Amino acid sequence: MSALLKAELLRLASRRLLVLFLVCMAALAAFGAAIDAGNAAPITAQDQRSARESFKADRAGWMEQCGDPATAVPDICDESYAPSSVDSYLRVPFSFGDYAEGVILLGSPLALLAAAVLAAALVGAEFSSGNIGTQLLFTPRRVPLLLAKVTAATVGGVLVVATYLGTALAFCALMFLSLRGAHDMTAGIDLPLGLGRLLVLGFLVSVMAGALTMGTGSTLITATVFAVVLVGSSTLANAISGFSPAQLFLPSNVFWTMAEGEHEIYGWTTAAYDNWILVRVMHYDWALAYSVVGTALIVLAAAWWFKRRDILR
Amino acid sequence: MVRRGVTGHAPSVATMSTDHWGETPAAWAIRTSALNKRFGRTIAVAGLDLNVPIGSVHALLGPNGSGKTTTLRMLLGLIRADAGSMELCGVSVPDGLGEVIDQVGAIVESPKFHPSMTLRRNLEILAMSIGVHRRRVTEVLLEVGLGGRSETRFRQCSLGMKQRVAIAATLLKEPQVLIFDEPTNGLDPAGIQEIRTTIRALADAGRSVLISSHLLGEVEQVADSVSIIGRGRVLVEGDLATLLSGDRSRVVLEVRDHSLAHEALRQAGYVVQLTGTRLCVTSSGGSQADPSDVARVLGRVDLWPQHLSVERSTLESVFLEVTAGEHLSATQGTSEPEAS
Repeated sequence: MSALLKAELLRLASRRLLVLFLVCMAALAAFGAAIDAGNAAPITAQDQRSARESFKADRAGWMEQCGDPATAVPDICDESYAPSSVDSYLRVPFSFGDYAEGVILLGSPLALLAAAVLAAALVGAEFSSGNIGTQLLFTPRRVPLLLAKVTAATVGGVLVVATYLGTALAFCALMFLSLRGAHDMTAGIDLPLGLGRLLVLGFLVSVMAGALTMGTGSTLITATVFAVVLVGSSTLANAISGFSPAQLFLPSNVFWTMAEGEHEIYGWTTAAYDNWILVRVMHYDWALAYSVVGTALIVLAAAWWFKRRDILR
Repeated sequence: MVRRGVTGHAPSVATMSTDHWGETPAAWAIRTSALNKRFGRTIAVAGLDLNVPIGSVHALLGPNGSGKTTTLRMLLGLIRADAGSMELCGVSVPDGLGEVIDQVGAIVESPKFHPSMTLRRNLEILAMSIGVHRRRVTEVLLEVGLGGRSETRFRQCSLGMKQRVAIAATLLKEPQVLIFDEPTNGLDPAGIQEIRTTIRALADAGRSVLISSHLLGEVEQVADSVSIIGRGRVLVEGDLATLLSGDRSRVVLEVRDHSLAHEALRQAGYVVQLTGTRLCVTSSGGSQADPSDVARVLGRVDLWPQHLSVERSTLESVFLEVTAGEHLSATQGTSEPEAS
């Protein structure tokens, strides 16, 4: 098994597709850090000018509406609603933690998609080139071969997500240092937690994509299955009541819980017909357990399938 | 010895005395018994009994769709058999394939490697997966004459180079049994000769080689024994020398008076057939007629042949005779999903 794994890792390292994906992830991270940099920039004279202008305009509007006590609408013209200071119109520059989290969340769906595509493509290429048949002439034990290939595909997928996260952090740090200096560079626990969650999700998505492709023998079929499950699940999540227990099992809800730590589900009743209410919050521990069990089942099904598959190419 | 399968097309053949076809189990490198495989409603292999002797080159011949490639794929664990048993080096497969695969090198249909990787890297991955040192890759590339092309990407290789890479891959394991499916497909004459020499050298070194090929002339030059299959079962199996031996040769002659010659030869115990302007003469037991005796018989009735020659059997003539009707049958329901 270790010889097989080493061989598969050598195959992974030899694939230019991996390098292409890593470069794309670095570019995506740089792009995200650049377009979000404005939120981390310090307050400038221009910001202050804009804030003053906005304050004056709002104040004038309020005075026009509420200046005459005879025509003032009591609900709107309460003094607490009146624009009171320019400072409330000034944007608050993001901390490093908020800035980096924003950048990472911005590109994370693409990074996860890239991880799944890479894992599926690495395995799928073995079938489309017919190389899997050659491989089986050397190592006919199919389950260890599947495990080695899925492991290598997962390493590739995790590497893609890690590259995205790593380069995003690096670009954010460089950008933040150049804009604000080191003294403001702080981050809370949310940033490392978010990074960890995305890495775990990247791992699970890659395992699923790799295993599914070993079972189906086709990147295209795997991509179709992924798309149908996610789109179908999202549609169903909107179609069925938020109160339905089925919401807890929908892959799209589980996905967002895994990515964001928790996921809020809203619904409505006849009692609150025109007002959506928070029905339940899905927590990470449930989503993680659900995903791990689901992934294990997919690997088992793929192993059974691959073991019985006739290799005709 | 030649074994004849259950068929209405196979010719009668004599039994020879010395051969590999004794019943010592250790004498077989590959053996299948009552092997069956179906693809949906199509029967690809139907009760195939194949015996490949150790230390020789055995050819698996048959028309397109006769079940050759399917049989090889089943032997190598790429396809699951529906019924029957198979042995490689005395080990039951596919269950024991893991134990014996290190002794078996195989190419099935066209060689398939990762197209964007170099020849060396493709072989290194295979070598690493079976725990063979990378140094062996250099050795086998040199062995097949690709030492200077090791950094060429697989997709840039000619068909001949690809075949040689595949042979190099089989040699990584230093196998005792080699299985080559159409090893000379797409090769130029020099390449074919090279592969033929390689195969012969492998057999001479004590390895057992099973080749499936359509190039009967090539097979005739390299094989020691053959199995001719049709509709998924063995039609004839045996030593090549026996199949092509004199008992299947015939005397061909031209005379002025066909009917007189026919009558004289028939009375002398010969079987005579008129083919165009020529008479084909065999002895009544199907064995070869003695040309001098044929001339003597004709001389007695004052007939002197304008032409008299002995026409020897070729593998092609035997193959065509044995598989007569199999092409049609194959297309009518016992074909494989892919050409074999």
